[in-house]
Amino acid sequence: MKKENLEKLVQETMSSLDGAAKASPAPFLLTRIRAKMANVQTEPSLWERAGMLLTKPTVAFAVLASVILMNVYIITEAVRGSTTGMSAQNTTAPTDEYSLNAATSFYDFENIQP
Amino acid sequence: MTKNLNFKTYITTFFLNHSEILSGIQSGDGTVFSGLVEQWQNMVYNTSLGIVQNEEDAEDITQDVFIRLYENISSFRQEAQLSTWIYRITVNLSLDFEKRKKRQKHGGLLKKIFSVRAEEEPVNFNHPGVLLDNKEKAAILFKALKKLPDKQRVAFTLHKMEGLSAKEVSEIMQTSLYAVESLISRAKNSLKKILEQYYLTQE
Repeated sequence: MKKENLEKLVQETMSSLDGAAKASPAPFLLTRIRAKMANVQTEPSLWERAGMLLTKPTVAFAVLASVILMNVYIITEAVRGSTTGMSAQNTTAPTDEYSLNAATSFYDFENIQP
Repeated sequence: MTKNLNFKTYITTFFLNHSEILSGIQSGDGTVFSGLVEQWQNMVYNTSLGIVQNEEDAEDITQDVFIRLYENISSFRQEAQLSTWIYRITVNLSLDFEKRKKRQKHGGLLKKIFSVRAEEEPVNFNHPGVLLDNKEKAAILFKALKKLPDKQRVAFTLHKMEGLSAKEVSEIMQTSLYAVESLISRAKNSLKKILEQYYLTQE
């Protein structure tokens, strides 16, 4: 394409909006605005929406199931924790038996007399 | 009957000053609000249409503008022009709408990948007010406009489509006259480059 032709085409495109009429919205705009305003006013609040969401059967069951699962997990962890605690106690028992944990300090060696 | 009523409300509002409109709406006078909608609906719709380039979206935004106006009329500062304030709300809501739409489009990318038939975005926008001979070229111009940064696009749209002066545009965009003139000039230069590129690739 020649440069003059290109410039002419661009210029024509740039001025294609000249003389364009103003667009108008569809009729009865006011009625639609009033209807929308009424809808906005009757729209539930955030808390109401949260309540509505929680009362849905699927959501309620999901929440209930997750609570039960969490309880089961906590109980099993607690049981496991108590058994490992017992075994740890058993292993430390011989050390107590042979007084290996007896508290000795420099003071004890220095003052051997009562 | 409706036409008579519309005319009556239009005339009622036309002769009211800003404070009377303000007090009329605040006191719940339906006639004042009706007149306001009647008087400004074309301007709001046309501005929004120039920005979002979709008739249904522009219609939704027009409704939202008047609802916003009704709700926030008390925050309107008397020293400002009512038209400037309405233009500002329109521009802000139109840009917000576009951003929201873009976010939804990106969010729906996964859906798009997994869906069998991808939903196609309309490529060309035909402004209903453009002369028949210019329809095709105007559609190309609108497509090029979408590629401009928001500020340049808004300044160009208000100046070119709404026929506002650079000073009026600067009041709406809350910026200096010099900045608006620069924005319009840059928009024109960018558009020329985009159009040249477009026509060269069309060969």
